[in-house]
Amino acid sequence: MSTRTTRRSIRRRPSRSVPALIVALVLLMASVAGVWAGITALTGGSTAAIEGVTGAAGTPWSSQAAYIPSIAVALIGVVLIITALIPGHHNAHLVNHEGATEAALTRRGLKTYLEDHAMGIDGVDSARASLKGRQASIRIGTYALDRHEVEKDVHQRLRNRVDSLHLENAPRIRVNTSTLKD
Amino acid sequence: MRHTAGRLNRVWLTITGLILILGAGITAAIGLGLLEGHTVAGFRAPDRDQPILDLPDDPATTTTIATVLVVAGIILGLFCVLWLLAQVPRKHGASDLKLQDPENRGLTVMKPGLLEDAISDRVEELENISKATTIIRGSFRAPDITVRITTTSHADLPSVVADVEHRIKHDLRLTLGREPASLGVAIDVKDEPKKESSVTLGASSAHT
Repeated sequence: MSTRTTRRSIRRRPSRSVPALIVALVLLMASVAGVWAGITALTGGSTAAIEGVTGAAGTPWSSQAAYIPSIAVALIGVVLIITALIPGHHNAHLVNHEGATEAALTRRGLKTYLEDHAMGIDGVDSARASLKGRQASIRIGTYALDRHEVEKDVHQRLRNRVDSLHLENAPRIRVNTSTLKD
Repeated sequence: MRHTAGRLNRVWLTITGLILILGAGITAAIGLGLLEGHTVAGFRAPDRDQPILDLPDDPATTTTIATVLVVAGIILGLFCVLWLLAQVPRKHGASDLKLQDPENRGLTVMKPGLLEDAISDRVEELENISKATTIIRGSFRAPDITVRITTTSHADLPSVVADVEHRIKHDLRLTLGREPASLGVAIDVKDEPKKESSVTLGASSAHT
């Protein structure tokens, strides 16, 4: 009897590489410093670092030098756990279509798609899209006098375009318009 | 398309966070006198005025601390280096594809890169696709194919996906005699450079 494992989805949640890199580098620097201090002391060099460790260990528990840094370190621990447990947004939106293929439009692709379509609308002179959660915000700049009309038009057309993509959990469209001056 | 160490990072960030919270939390609790007089699993919490560690100031202690620092530093440093190396995104592609004839008389070994390039080239021939990159994972028996395509913002995405799916399935059926066990298509959109001579018509204006 054969069992089949499911494939990894082509869309991913954030891999938390940046916090992992920071923590790994900080710990690596601490361990290099520890090894260096230990080897220096063992080979008859300076024992200043070891004396520092002995001095710190002799601090009473009630000393502010002991528990105030501890509270800060505990807060860093909380931040690390929150960073690890918050799943974050997928990097792509699944496209509903007929067929067995898993298809997903990348967030960067959707951003370009919205900007490109906004720039094709009469009255729009600049367009910048950003995706936050399930909302797509498009900031458009216009020299047109009827900016509210332009805004309505952009909103309507982009909503139609996004609907035509057949995205699963399609983002809501929000348009902010500003009047350009020279 | 490449695999990253997301799960590993989350597990180690959680473990590091828990160690920091436990260690620092206990230190702060003792320092603030919250654990005074309490006994946990046979260990009595130290008084808040006691030193954290009462180490004698002699050469033997210095040697012990130095040795502990070296050993702990090497172990921790190795873990950190491995964690840093795990951050490099991995392709996890298929090893050589072994094509066996039904009667077990011969074996053909094929580098997956050849098939990946061939699929990418064929997909790039499709309308509205400017670039395609393919990764094959798994085996010849059950190939798992992931394609990243770059299309334009004026393409109809569901039909582009259908074209890609049809092309890959058809080609694999012809060449390997089987369809992919699974197929994933990641779509990227690249904006089209506007030419002075081009005219863009919106959907509603096209009807008028």
